[in-house]
Amino acid sequence: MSNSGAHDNPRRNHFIPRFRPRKIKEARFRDFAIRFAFGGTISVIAALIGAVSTESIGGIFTAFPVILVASLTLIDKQEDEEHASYDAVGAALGAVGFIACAFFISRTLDQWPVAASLGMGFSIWLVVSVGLYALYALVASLGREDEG
Amino acid sequence: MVVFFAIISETFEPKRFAGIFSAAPSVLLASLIVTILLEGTDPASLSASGAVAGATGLVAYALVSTWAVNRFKGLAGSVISLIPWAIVSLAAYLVLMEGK
Repeated sequence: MSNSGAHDNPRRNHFIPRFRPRKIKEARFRDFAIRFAFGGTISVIAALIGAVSTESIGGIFTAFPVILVASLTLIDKQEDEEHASYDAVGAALGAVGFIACAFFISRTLDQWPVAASLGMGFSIWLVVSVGLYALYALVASLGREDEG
Repeated sequence: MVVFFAIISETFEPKRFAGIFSAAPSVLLASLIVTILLEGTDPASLSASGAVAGATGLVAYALVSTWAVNRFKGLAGSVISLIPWAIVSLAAYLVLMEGK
């Protein structure tokens, strides 16, 4: 399923990200519905905990691995556990970016305009996550000629 | 936003890159926007502080799940990995609150 073109050329660097918009058509509506249901449920739980508590503990649940639980389960079902573990490696890099994003927002939200704080926080997540992936890909490419 | 990032994740290869979007701060941003609209920036700022702890747990979750999905398969592995997420999140929360 995910192999379309990925293994065609053995000399291609398999760590280089490729955008495949056609894969949206291949994905099933049910898969997105599962993620939506997971996300919606956890968002409501996080909001309720935040509402009944004046402490920051409710914020922990905004980093609940909601998409990841659904993704790992679906990838394992549609492909195999190896591809699911590859997804988890990327998620670990994204999670480090998440820490940077949340830290930045927590320090700037009451000082900066809201849109600027949230927008910059999101940008920090993207830059840190993709930067870490680039570093990981560089080290892994130099270390071994392996498929990602 | 969760579905948006799920779609983005589906359209990228390889999986190691696409996985980044599985850890997107979608619930955090959505939750913060709602909190800001309903209660203002002070509670939202507190919530973001808590999210730092939760995100630390998310790193633990992702690292443990790379092993757990191979060992226990997808559903069981991803559910078992929630244990280190909870432990590390709580520990990070206590450490962060200690420093305040």
